[in-house]
Amino acid sequence: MGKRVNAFEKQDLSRPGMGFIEHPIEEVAVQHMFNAREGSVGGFGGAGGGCGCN
Amino acid sequence: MKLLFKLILPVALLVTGVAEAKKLKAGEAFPSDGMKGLRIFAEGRGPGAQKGSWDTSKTKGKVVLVDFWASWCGPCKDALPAYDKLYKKFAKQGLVVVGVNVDDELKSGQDFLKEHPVAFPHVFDEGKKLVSKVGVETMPTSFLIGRDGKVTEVHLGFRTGDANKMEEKIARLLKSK
Repeated sequence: MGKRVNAFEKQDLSRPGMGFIEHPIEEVAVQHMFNAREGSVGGFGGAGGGCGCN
Repeated sequence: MKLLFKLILPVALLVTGVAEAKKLKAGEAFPSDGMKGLRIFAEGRGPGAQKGSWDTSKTKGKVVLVDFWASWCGPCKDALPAYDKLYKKFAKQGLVVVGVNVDDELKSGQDFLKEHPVAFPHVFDEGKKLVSKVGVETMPTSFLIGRDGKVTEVHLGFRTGDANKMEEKIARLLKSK
């Protein structure tokens, strides 16, 4: 069994270099297409978006 | 791509399926003892800022807003000035606001507070003991605590307009004896 990474433990995961795509604008576009195609949102990036959902 | 997800999904389910830590809920007593002795940040506050460690007698019998934040958390940057306004408005009526920094290193919090100063005090949760104890599930998370020491609201995340709702709740709590 693995360990769940809590929201407050995501300091390293929230670093820009931890994203799949280096350029932020490109990442937004790719994520938009991914969300539309897969019907799911979120799970990428470390820090919370203020929505209280991640 | 689909094959990749077929491989990743079972592993992800295994990882997220691990039993979660207990989360502090409304109606339960806030573990104020967990704040005892936490280092107070001197950065980002005026020359009279208190130094040393947190004394739990500061919060006894008072309405308290405890905000868990980190320098790397985007919405936390919006929440802190909003809570600062609430602090400035209600401090004379007895509201205590305290920020709990959960960065890995003390210096990250110090640098952040120098850049984003606020009037209310902050403590450093070294080793993330307190944040683990209360089971914060998103960043930022704030706990509004009544005079009886019990949590009246757990506020997850922070969006524009949240401070107004919080203001009403604080005003109501301050009126209660």
